[in-house]
Amino acid sequence: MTDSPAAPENPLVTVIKNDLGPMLANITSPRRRRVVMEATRDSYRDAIKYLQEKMDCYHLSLINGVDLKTSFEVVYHLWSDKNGMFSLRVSLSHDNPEIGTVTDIVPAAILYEREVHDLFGIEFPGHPDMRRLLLSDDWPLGEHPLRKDWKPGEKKMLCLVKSAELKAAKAGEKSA
Amino acid sequence: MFERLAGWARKKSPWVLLINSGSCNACDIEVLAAVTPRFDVERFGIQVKGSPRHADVLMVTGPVTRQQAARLRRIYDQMPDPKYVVAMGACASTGGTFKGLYNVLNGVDKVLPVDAYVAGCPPRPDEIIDGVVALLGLIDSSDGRARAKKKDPLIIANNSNGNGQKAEVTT
Amino acid sequence: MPEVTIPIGPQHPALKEPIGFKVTVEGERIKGLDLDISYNHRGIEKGVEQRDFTKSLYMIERICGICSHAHATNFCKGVEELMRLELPKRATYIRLIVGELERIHSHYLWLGVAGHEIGFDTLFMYTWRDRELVQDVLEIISGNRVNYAVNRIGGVRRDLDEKTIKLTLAHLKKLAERAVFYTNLATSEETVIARLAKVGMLSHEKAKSLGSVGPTARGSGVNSDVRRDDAYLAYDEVPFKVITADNGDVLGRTIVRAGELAQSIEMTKWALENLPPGEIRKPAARTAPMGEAVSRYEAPRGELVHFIRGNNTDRADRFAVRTPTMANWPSVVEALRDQNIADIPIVVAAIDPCMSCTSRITFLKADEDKAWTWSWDRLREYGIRWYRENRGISWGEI
Repeated sequence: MTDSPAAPENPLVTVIKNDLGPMLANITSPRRRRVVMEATRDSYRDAIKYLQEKMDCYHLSLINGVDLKTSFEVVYHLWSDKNGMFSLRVSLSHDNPEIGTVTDIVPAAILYEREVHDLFGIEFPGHPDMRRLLLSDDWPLGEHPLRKDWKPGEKKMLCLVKSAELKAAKAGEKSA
Repeated sequence: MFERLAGWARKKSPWVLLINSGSCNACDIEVLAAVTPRFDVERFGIQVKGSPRHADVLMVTGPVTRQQAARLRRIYDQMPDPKYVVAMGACASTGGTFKGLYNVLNGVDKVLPVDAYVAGCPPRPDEIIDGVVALLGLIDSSDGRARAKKKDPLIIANNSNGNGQKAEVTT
Repeated sequence: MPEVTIPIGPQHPALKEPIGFKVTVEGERIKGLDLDISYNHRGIEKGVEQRDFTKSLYMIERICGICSHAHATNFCKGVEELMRLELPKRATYIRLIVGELERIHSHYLWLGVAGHEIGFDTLFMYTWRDRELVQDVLEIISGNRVNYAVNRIGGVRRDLDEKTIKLTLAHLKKLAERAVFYTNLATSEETVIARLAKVGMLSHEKAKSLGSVGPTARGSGVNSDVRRDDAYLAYDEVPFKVITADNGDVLGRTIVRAGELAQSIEMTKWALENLPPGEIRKPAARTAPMGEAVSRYEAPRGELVHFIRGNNTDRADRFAVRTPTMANWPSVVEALRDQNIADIPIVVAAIDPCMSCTSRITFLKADEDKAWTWSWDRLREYGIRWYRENRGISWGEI
């Protein structure tokens, strides 16, 4: 079967280890057509450029965030028809998670970084248009629902704001 | 069913405004399928219209996301009286599978007064038609007027054997 | 000419999820496009963390009602990957058959919606009438017209008996004849070509760099399809062609979908005729071990990605969804650059958004303090009228 879990050693793992060496850690191939690796905040951009240029990764499939309770992770998933999926994870501190935007080298990142920001509160300095993507206009600032310590029940998230109040709040925000 | 509908339609052609408040689209597509040749509600004068100002019936799908809630209230306010609200599908009735998620309000009746609930995930086109018919019957009858004061909403649940043959109306 | 920003709000008389658009125009030319997709955000990713795999599956199926099987199958195979579970062949075939039937119903749906957007309502009625044949088949196979719930972790819930297979093959024969009709419509009917050609141009390079997927990308010559390049289920056994078009316009995307419709009908036929015997399900553990899976699926709209993290429990530690429509939004912005307002409805519809349509289009004059609103219907009618008056496009003769 095509998704078979028992994958033979992927030769690309060795190639990447040789080419990028200390820039990356934990380069593995969990199944066929998948390579996973870890980069640091200093090395991730060069790693992405390498995947684009040398591994034929022309397509960004997704950027997602993960909350590991003691740290955050941002994972970039880059696809090559020839070589498969390359998932690049970068670990970020839990107190002040931020990582520079990649929209200059991967234009398709534009919406995914906004989504990760909304849901986790991770900052992407340099993003040309960092605004709310998914959460509603009346969603309180600073509440990032996909964080593990965020519980919906604790806060009354009742929304039935009358139109006038909503407008006034918006006007207040604008002038603030 | 169709005789009652045809009779009613002679008196008034209900125009329906369909609003998606965050649904997965399944309900919306089944409403549209009701308009297409196999089911064809338009022959009864039921039309799906775009503007609140011309609608008699507001049909809402979806569990009502936060962003849509205020908008839904505004649309309802724009509709002229008499107006009726149908909660279409499980999500619009109770929140459906999305009940309890952080961005949904769990049903249309948290935002608007509802006259009829049509159960199903999604309800079949014939069940939807049945729901509209029952609603029209409710509107027409004199004791329906009392119900229309939102004290006693109509609940339409599917009791069929999968061929959409029989739907039971319970209150 | 002053720049004007037009917000397009979130209801539509005809289906699809609500979205808000802000279109910046100079006269009739579009200079920029901004979108607000918050109307459909429900909080599913968080919900999955709180539900076990089985309960999550019911919810995940309803991320989208049009491609519900895509989401459910993609999730199941991701979890099965974490559990190192290999499925019986018959189960993968049944998943594939339902998946291709879903693609057929979705492309018929799209043809109808596209027809509606350009004023060709007869096409809407024809395609949705044909689509009912597919709905009948899906109902017989699964018990429901929509949201079929065929999947379980470890396989499928229902088997296909001889009677069902025979009936499906009979319906597919009828559908194959109709598919020829629609392909010809897309490729040789003059009025359709006049209306759709050169509209919403998306270059090959932009299609790639902006991350577009599915028929949107393939309509600009990007030769990529998850079924062939990252084969899953039984796609490595079922013969099929990946359809691309080099046009780069809405016509190209139409040709791709019409071609895929015909392909899917053939694939479903082949799979039914070559259905391997055996079990339809493997018992699965309740919990998934530590690990991560990136599961990909070629949904009718394009590449669907699920990221699933297991942590030795009966639920996912993290579940991230990237729908193909999300991947295609930047291409809409690009495809509408310098186009006419009249093209907004069809270019937006051309990515087949699983969250589309907008209710209100708000126009803002940059240098004045005025704002006014159009409904999507009004914009649609504007587009139909514009093309009738300026290009002579009229659907009366077809």
